Amino acid sequence: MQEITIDGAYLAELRKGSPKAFEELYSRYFRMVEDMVFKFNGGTEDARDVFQEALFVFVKKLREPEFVLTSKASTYIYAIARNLYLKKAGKATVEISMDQQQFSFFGEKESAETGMSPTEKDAMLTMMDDKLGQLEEDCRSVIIYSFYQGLSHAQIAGLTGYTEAFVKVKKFRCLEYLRKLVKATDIFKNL
Amino acid sequence: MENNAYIERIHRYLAGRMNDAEKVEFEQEMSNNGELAEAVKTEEKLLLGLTLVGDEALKKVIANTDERLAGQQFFKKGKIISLSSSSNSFIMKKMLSIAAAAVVLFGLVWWGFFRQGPATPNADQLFADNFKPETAKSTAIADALANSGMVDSMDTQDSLREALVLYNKGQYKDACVALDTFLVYHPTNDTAQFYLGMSHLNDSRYARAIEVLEPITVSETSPFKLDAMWYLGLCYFKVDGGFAKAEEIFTQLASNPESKDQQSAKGILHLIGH
Repeated sequence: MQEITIDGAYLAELRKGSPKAFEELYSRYFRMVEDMVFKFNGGTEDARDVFQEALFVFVKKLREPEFVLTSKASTYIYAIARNLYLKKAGKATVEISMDQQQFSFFGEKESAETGMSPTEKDAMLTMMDDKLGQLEEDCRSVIIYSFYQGLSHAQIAGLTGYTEAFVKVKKFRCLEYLRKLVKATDIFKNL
Repeated sequence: MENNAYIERIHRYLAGRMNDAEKVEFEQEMSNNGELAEAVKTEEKLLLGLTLVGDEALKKVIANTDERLAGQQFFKKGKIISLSSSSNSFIMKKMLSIAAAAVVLFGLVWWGFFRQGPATPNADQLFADNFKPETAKSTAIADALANSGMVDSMDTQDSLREALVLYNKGQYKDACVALDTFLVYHPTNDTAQFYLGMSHLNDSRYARAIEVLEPITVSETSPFKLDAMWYLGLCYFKVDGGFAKAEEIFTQLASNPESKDQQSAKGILHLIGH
């Protein structure tokens, strides 16, 4: 298995949600996770499910501003996938080796309940999509970079060509506009 | 600016980025200040909403990648490899795969020997003679998006229009970046999918173009279906072992009166002695 070097450029692609970056992760690490799932008598479909969830957790972690990748990507992904799969298969007591213990909590925090019913969640998603769609493109980009992709003001400045100070001002201005739009909705009031 | 600091402080609290002393002070302040408590609630809901949208977009990208790879038999290959835990079954599978490889090899040799006679035109030449970058439709779509009544608010249409403008200018790499980004948030938009495939094709990334165009050709509703088939057929002329697939696609187009490329497809089939 060839290890991916998670450099700044690749990290940015993953944070951005670039399909090519995900394909790279599949081609490098899917077999590793599949072998683990087979060892616990699972099948390829189980491996596909758990790999998707593991990538989701991994990229969510990468998007956290304070998160620093200190191990190989394979170590993280394996540990997350193993933890998720064993939990799913009801085998949570299976030992996790020392070097993987630090990741054993992954998949718990990220999948924590939002306190919303599935219907409320759907309504919230639809409403947010709609209101984000009403923002100007540059506003939406700044919000996406900042709140979805966890980019710093300096990184956003690099992408947009704005100054760092202007990014900060714009971010709060756009958020204020979005806040006004969503506050007027029933789903937001009743949540 | 003062308001920004106020909101930033709330966000720091909600993200758990305050130290203990700061947190205690903030919570104390909240219990004495109803307005602040209300603002915290609002920000909490707003950030939750943004997280949900971001999570959903991320899940879609991953699921789409999985689906795309499934379409390329990526997981089936894995199934054979991972049967290694059962030695008997592994040997059997190994033998079967060697036999299958031999059959495929024999087929390829047969195909190459009997089908690629001197009369068969060169696939590169067929591509060169028939490929013209599509710009008429993309220009019309970009113009329509520009005139669709978005007076004072830009929305998703604008980012698509900008991507199509890049495509029309022949800036295919930039168009790919713009369309890829657009598709992250609008993964089912077939206009973006089609021109992403076309951008790859124009930049000679044929395998990538095939990946993107192929799903459009199986769509029942996409207005780009027939155009995507035409360009997909041409792409197959440019990849190793793609000749038969190209022939299959042009056969379908040649029998479809709805395709504007019906006659051209017939011409290609005639040239390759179909």
